[in-house]
Parts: sequence; structure tokens; C-alpha cells
Amino acid sequence: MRSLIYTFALLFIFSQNLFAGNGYEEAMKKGIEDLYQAKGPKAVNQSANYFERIATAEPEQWLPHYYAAYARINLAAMQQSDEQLDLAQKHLDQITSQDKDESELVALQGYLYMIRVSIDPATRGQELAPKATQTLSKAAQMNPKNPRPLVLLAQMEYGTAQFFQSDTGEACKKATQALVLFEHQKEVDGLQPAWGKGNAEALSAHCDKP
Amino acid sequence: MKTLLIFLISHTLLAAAVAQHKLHGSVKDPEGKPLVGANIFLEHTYDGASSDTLGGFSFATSAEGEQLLMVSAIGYEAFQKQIVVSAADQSFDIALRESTQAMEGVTITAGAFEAGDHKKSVTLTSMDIVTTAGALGDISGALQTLPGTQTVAEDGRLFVRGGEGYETQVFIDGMQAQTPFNASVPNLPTRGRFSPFLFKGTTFSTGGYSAEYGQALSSALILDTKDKPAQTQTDISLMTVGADVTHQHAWEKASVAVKGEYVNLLPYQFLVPQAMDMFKTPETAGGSVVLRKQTSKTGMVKAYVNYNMANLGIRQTNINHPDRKDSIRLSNDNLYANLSYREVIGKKWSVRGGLSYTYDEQNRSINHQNIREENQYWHAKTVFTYDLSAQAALRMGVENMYQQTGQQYQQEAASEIGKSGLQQNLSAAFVEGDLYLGHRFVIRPGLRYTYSALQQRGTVAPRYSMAYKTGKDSQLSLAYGQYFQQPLTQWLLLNPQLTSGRADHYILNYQYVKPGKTFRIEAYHKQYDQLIKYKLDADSKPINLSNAGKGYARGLEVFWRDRKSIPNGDYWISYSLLDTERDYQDYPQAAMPGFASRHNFSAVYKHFITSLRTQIGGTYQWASARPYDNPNQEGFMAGRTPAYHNLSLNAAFLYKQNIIFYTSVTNVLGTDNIFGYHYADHSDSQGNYARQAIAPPAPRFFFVGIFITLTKNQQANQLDQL
Repeated sequence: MRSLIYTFALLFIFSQNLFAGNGYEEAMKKGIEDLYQAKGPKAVNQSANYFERIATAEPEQWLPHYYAAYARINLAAMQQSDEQLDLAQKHLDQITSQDKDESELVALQGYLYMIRVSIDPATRGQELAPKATQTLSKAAQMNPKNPRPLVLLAQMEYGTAQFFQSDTGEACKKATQALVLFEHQKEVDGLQPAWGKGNAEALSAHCDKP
Repeated sequence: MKTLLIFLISHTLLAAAVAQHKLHGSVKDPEGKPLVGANIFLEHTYDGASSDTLGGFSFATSAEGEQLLMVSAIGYEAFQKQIVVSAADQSFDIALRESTQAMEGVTITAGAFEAGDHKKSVTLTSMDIVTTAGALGDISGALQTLPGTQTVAEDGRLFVRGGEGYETQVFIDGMQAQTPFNASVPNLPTRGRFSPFLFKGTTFSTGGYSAEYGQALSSALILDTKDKPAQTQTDISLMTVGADVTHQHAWEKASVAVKGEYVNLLPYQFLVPQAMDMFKTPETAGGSVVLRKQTSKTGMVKAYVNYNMANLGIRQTNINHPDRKDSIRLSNDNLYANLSYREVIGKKWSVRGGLSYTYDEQNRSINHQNIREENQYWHAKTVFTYDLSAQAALRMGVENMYQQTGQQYQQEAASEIGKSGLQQNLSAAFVEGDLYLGHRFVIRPGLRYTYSALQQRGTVAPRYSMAYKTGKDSQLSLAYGQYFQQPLTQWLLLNPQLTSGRADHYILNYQYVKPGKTFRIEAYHKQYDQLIKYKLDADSKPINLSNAGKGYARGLEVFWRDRKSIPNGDYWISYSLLDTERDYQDYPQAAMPGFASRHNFSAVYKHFITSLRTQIGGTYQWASARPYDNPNQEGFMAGRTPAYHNLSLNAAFLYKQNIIFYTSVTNVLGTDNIFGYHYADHSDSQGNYARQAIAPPAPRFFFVGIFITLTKNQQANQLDQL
């Protein structure tokens, strides 16, 4: 009987742990899938709220904050909203976890600056555009295998080159490099950031047009 | 058996763990309108939902018992409620309160126009200041398109609400800038000494300003210099009137910027003939150094040194001697140094302060008469802020201003030199609190005490302002305050016992701000007292100086800006109605002064043409007639000038990412503006006083410039320096 209680207790603890662990991963996987599928501000906001809930429940994890911030930045781009960017910044500032991926976080910070500029380029371009470029370059330097800072840099450079009707070659080269990196991107546990391939493909398609 | 038992028990346990309870309800704003996209969830769980277009939500949870229901939405206070999750479905109707911390929170706006790049509800950005047509890159030029200012185009300084130019005080990082404008001769407009691209934020207050700012009767222009720049770059400007070069170097935690500039109107004078006979065309040369050092995460030290020298010489017809011309010469050396710091000390305290020094030497000569004036000013200040709670903050500070003036006067080259001088020390202390009463109401009581060592007298100036949020986008502000300012040095030299002038401000302001749109209307009354009054003796020298002068100014001002309705377009419109009279200086009776005009109107439009990579802009300014005293006419100050019109246009073309071409023309229509008249001291044989119009040296001003930025990656341009 004693062994039964032991087994029971062990099983209970085990199942609880298992439940919590799997719950987090499953919830994250589902959320990430939904976020990548999300079309339109309503769905993206739902995603952002979803990750905000997990972030509140799992203060030790950096990924819920990361995805909440990423969703808010996308939403900000759709709605031209500074408030959404402020929230995204709050999420980034709240990350305390030690096992965070610095290059990904710096890249996301650069993305945030990029969208901040796009909301009011005439006013903010002078100060924030170089800051965005610098932050993204820093992220690329921290991890040369990270395709996300590269594709964002390519997008910025392409837009600028188009505006000034100058050569888009450098931007396109970066997009191609990013695509190669995307091909070699390793899936660790399905939770690590993996977005951006679509952007690189779309940009390459533009570049290939005569 | 055992195994089965374990299996069964664990299974029921798991089943119990995933038993679902349903929560639903709605989220609304304080006015009962549905809030879309709010996040509703139970703390420490992943369970929750986003509200739909009707504010409704519904979600299932496996949590049981006591839980914390949380709701968050942008612009609203986070909501929390302790609930007990039980078997039955539960419904919650939640009303959120507007957040005081939100960007649109209640702030005191009476009298103040904020311009900056970082706050979202600003009226003008620093970019606007430099791209406004007609402003020619001058801060005060751009501010003259805002309500509360009067067009006094022959002067160039800021004349606010029936006040003279000297009644506007300029502060850089909280420190007084005693000589913010270039030295000039009468009727030749001056420009600000400080380049607009030094500053990240501008607060232009046309009245009712905080107890922190003293020695200003009418207006405070508060300029905050930029923090550390992001990158190393060199800017080169080539203009029809001169050139400048700036190099800034940025490190991780510090930066240094060095600028040199030279402006000479000589080549321009050949291209565009000037009505004024200039034997020494206006010329300025100068340089500045800016050091910025981040001393900690929250600490910053800035040092700024600016040196300017200016020279000019003109010949003006003297209406009293039509057969000859007066030759007027001016040379000026000016040094301004400013050291400021800020730091957060602990959770509740922060400190900022600084030291500024001004050295200004002016040599003026009119024919053979020479005047040399040397002024030195020191200003030291420290301000502490104490955050009592989220609802209350206290600011207190002390400052000291020291001035030393020496004047030498020589009637003719060989004659004896007359000397006079002055030393003045002003010590001041102030305390001010911000108190939030609920979510919609803020009051700011303040008190300022100033002691003058020269007159051995102190003044106590109470100031109050408050704001009440009348709706999500609108608010009402009220302000009252007493303002004191020392008499101008020229009067103190004649009588050091003259005391400060006084102005009492009463302001009522309503503001409506939506993203991209701003509407403001403001009514005010300003009562002047203790202004300088004197009589003129037979040689036109002031005698019997006293503080017996009085006056008032009252008016209504409207501002509307819309940068949203027209794609790529942006415009603002200002109107000011001014009713003012004063009985001061040598006025025989109260009258509307010569710098005032009853109506001032300005409209600014900017449009970016993406396909041409060009921004075009236009500014139209209109000011109604200004008074002047006509000895040929009955009554004092009964003459009226024609109305003032000025349509200015500009265009900026982004040739490359780092090269901009810029051109502007002021007064495109060539309107002959007249600012007033000089009358002869004595009448002619028919009993008529001859006169001479005060008019600009040329109807139009043309400007062409190329701005080049050199960086490592060629990303930046000088668009915000135009």
C-alpha cells in the first residue's frame, strides 16, 4: 500500500510537471502557428493578447514576451500605431530571462525602430532611420547566421534605393543571403523565432523582375 | 490491480484538471461604448480571450476557486477583480477607466505650445520649425506662425500678446540664454543665434508658465538640446549667404560635435539690390562645440559653447537732416557657454541643473559717436523633483543670476570718455507641485521668490494652473500667475533703484487633439504694472524715470492643425485677436503701442510629392494695421500703417539620400510692407512734419542652399536642418 501511495504521489508530481511543461510548449506552438497564419489586425491583436497572457503566467520565459512584441510591432505596422509600439517596447524591456537569444532580441528592437520611422518618416527619419540600421546591423553581427536582421536590412535598403531611384543591387544581395540562411535554419524545438522567410522571398521576387 | 487503480485515479485526476468553466461578458469604456481587442484573462493561467467588435468576450478555463480576472486595453487602466470560478457559467460586465499614464492623459496646456520629436501630442515638431516657408531656418521665425505672436518683421524677435521683444526669455536646457538673438541695428531684423537642429524639443509658452521660469513678463521659450546622436557624421551646408560645416563623432556613451560657420550678405547684395545703403554688409562668423556624455543609465552631462562675431555698417537717411546720411556701425562678440546635468537619485528623487555664462561685447557708432557696452551674465540653477506617489510630484529649485555691465560713451573721437556700470545679483527659489485628483483633474500650484541685491527688494510670485479632461480627446485648462522682470539694463544704468515690471496672466484654454489633428482656442487677460515711465528733456534724453507705467493686453487665439486629411499634406492655421494699450515710456496717455496689431493671421501648408522626392511649402501671414504717432494728425498714436502681407514659398528636393537642394522666397507677391514712420523733430515752413517710412531693405528674400551629409553608410541627410 505504501508503494502504491508512493507511485501515486510520484505519478501525480510527474503528471503535474509534464502537464505544465507540455502545456507551455503546446500553448506556445499553437500560438506561434496562429500568429504566422494571422491575417488582419483583429487576428494579430488576438495573437498579441494570447502571448501577453502566457507572458504574464510565465515571467521566467523570454519567448512569450518576444512573440507578444513581434505581434504588436506587426499590428503597429498595419495600424500606424505608436501605442502598439509602446506596448511592444514594454514587452522587450520586461525580458529578464538569462537564456534569451540576444541576436533575435536586438533584431526585433531594430524592427521596432523601423516601424517607428515608417509611421512618421519625415519627422523621425533623421534620428531613427540610422538607429534602426545600426541596431539591425548589430543583430546580424551578433549572430551572422540569423536571417531576420538581414532581411529587415534588405527591406530598408530596397525601399530607400527605390525612393531615390538608385541601385537596388546591395539590397537584393542581402535578400538572397537571407534566403540561404533561411534554408539552413535549424528547428530546435519549434519555439525559436523562424519568421521572415516570406519577406525575403517577396523581396527576391521584386529583385528578379527585369 | 495496483496498476489499474493508479491508472484510474490518475485519469480521473487529469479529467478533473481539465474540467472547463465558462466565463463571458463585455468590456466597455467609461462612456459605455464597447472596447474592441481588450485582453481578458485569469492571472497565472493561459486562459483568456480578446473582446470582439461589440466588446463581448467568452472563454473556458480549467482553473477553479479564487482567481484574479485581469483586463488590459491600450489607453485604459489595467483592471483586476478577485472572482471565484465555480461550476456555473459566469458573466462579467467590465467598465475600464481611462489611463492617467496614457499619452493622451491630462496635462496643463494653458499658454504652452510644445514642439518635439518624441511626444505624440505635440503641436509642431523640430522638423516643422525648419521646413516652414518664410521662417528661413530660424526658430522664432517658425514660432511666428503660431497664435499669440505678433508680426514685427523689422525686429525678428518674439513679440507675445502685447508684450515687447525683451519680455520673451529663452532657456536652453533650463539655463537662461541672455542674448539669444544676433546683435542688430534698428529696423534690420535679427535672427536667433542658435541653430534649430541643436534642439530635440521646444516649448513655446505664451503665458502662464511654471514657477521654474523667471525674469520674463510675457513668454518663455524653453529649448532642450538633443541627447547623444546615433552616429558619426559630417554635415556641409553651402548657401547663397554663406557656408557651415559640422562634424559630430559618436561613441558608445559620449559624443562631440564641432561646428564652424560663416555668413556674408555681400554676394547676395549684388544679385538682389537692397534699399539700404550698406558700406559694410552684414557678416557673421562663429563656431560651436557640443559635448554630451551619458554618465549612467539615467544620467547625462551636456556642455555647449557657442561663439559668434558680427559686423555691419549702414548709411541711413536722417529725416532731420535730409542732406546727409547717418553712418551706423556695429560689431559684436558673443560667447555663450552652458553646462547642464541630470540624474535620477533613487526611486523617488531626481536632480537637474547647470551653469551658464554669457559674454557679450557690442561696439556701436553713429557718425562720430561711439558706444561700447560689455555684458557678462552668470546663471546657476539646481532643481530637485520628488515623486511622492503616482498622483503627486514636487519640484523645487534654487538659482542665482549675476550680471555685470560696463558702458563707455564718447561723443566724438577726441572727446572725453564717459563711463557707467552696473552689477546686479538676483537670487531665486521656487517650489511647485503637480497633484492629480482622480483621472481627469490636475492642479499645479507654485510659488517663486526672487531677491534683487541691487534694489534690496524681493518679489513673491504665486502661480496656479490646472487642467480638466472633458472627454477622451479634449480638455480645458486654466492658469493664473504673477510674473516679474527686471527693467532693461539701459534704464537701470540711469536709475538702479527702478524695480521689476509686473504682469498678471489669466488664461483659459480649450484643446481638442486627435491623432494628426489639433484644435485649440485660448482666451487671456494680461495686466501690466510697474512698467518704466519717463519724460524726455530738450535733448530727447529720458529723465524722471519711474515704475509708474501700466498697461493691459487681452485677446482670443485659435489654432488648427491637420496633418491627416490630405495625403502627404499638412497645414496649420493661426489667428490672434489682440486688444492692448499701455501707458509707459514717454507716452502722454494710454495707447496701443507701435509693435502691436489687432489681428494676426497665418496659414502654413506643406506637401510632399513622392514621385519628385520634393517637399513644397507655403506660408501666408497677414497682420492688420499697426499704430504710429503722427505729429501732423490729431491724437497720440493715431496713425495706422497699411496691413502686412507676406506669402513665402519653399521647396526641398532630395537629390540623393545625403544631398538636399533647398530654395525659398519670402514675400513672393512683393507687397510693399511698411512697419511705421520716422517723423522729423521739427516741422517745415508749412507746419508739416516730414516723414520716412520704415520698410524692409528689399521686398523679397531669395535663398538657395545645398546640404550634404557624409556618413559611413550614407544613410542620413540634413532634411531636419533646413
